Amino acid sequence: MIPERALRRWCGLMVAIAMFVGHARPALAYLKFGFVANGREVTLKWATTPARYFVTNQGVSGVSASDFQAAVAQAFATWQTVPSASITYQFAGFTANLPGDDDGISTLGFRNEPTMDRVLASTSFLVDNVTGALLESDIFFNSAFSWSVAKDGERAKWDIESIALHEIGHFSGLGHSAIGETELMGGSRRVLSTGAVMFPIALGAGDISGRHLDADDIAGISDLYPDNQFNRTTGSISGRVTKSGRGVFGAHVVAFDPGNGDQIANFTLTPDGQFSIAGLRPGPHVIRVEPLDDADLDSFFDASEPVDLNFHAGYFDQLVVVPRGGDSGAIQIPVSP
Amino acid sequence: MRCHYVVSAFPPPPKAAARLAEGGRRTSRTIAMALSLLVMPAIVFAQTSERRIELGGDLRWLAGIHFEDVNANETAFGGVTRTVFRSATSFDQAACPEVKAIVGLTRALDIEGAVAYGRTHLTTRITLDPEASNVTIAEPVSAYVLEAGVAAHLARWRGRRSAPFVSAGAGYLRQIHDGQTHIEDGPSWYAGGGVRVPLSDETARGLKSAALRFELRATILPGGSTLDGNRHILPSVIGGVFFHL
Repeated sequence: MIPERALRRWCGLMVAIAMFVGHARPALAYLKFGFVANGREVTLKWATTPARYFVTNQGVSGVSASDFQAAVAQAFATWQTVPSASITYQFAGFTANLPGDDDGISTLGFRNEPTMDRVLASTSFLVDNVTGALLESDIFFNSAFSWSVAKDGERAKWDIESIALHEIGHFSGLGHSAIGETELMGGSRRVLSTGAVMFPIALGAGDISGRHLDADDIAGISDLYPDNQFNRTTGSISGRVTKSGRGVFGAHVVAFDPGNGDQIANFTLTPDGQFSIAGLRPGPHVIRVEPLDDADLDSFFDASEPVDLNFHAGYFDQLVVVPRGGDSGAIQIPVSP
Repeated sequence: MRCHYVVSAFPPPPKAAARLAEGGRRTSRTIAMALSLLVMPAIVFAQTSERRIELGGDLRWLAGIHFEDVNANETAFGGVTRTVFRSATSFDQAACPEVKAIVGLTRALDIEGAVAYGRTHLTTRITLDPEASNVTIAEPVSAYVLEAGVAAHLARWRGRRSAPFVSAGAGYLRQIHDGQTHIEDGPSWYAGGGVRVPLSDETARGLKSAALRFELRATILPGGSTLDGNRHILPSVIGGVFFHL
């Protein structure tokens, strides 16, 4: 049995309008959850695979337990079949346990949470506070919303597979991606488009376009669980973002591949503005830097962290060439207030 | 069966002519029949008793490559593609000094190898970003070309002093960023044609002859070894001087 002091519960919440991350603080690496333990950066991930999961044996109107299990199995399969990642998952059976219970098993299922009127689904973790190893990860889907497993989706119903795909990213240890565009309407955000399944805002009820992974998601899961070739066949870009000579914290840095259109991103995660983007195809990349203005800050950072939003979006004035199996070398990207 | 030979683009030296008259003709005839299936029109084939070796320098003008425009796309509700910004990337044209060696296999058929080096720029133009100004980003790039192939002289269209030829071969193109970071590399194929103009028959310092050579060439970069994964055909113009060693 794991001592209580060694455990920490983390929560990632997917909501209808926005998504929240409980106590998560991004590690000094690519889109991964992590924390500092004994002065050392620790990344949350499964130490052993396959990651086994159970499914609650209760369905909701229009979605039986077996329908639900089939839909989430498809989402797990989508992550598992990423060619450059080694993580595997295993369905362990149905259970009467509910997601969110600290019962030593990872459970996916429905729970009725009508007071969480913006929360579609939520992922919570039980982690070893020293090693960062994931011990248990539960995903609940809020049955206060209408759900669907229809092949082509259903009007006004949320697609189980799409939402599960996002939550399983969290289940695996990934944080949010900020590749997406929103607009503010009446004080709330409306998503215009997303460039990653891990974008914290769902497109809308009836939409099924979130059933596939984007380049940013693939780079993230591969960086977290690399296969034998990933680190040898891809490269990274690292550097600093500065404003008036000082580091910018929380800048969103996107590496755009002009050869195939892939967008893979990360944030500057230190006070002096350092960033690192891994999992890039070797070759030239365009670097775009923007303030984090397309999602709520607390989807990515703790409220106490001094995210700088006061600068203009722009491009680094050089193409950055990513070497195979290496890093571009530190680049410095100035931005204008 | 008789095989008609046409006038040789390069009259054989006395020794070779003698060998042709004696016993070399059967072999040459066989080669001619085989090669005439590959290269039309008919060309002259004659064996030489000594290999003709030429060394020279070229200047190769390499046309630029405009890669397929690539958009930064995202997915909107219903799976609709929404473009965040557009990019257009190209390798600029380049002038590449080149060293080339030619070995005459027969009167009409050469094998040749070349090494070329050039400086160019990889340029990306970003447009239609609603949050940022249009921008052009360029990076200096070094291009290395290694090629080997054959050139066949077309005697039928030989002029008073000039001799046309066609060429084909394979190569390797490697593009290196200034930080010594590899950008692209991969095989290439080429086909071309040009004209060779002898300058003199005998020169001093042991050089038997010199010639100018001009060529138009199409270099084919197969998909998979280019930035956008598509096949590109790269025109080039090559001109230089060669010395018969």
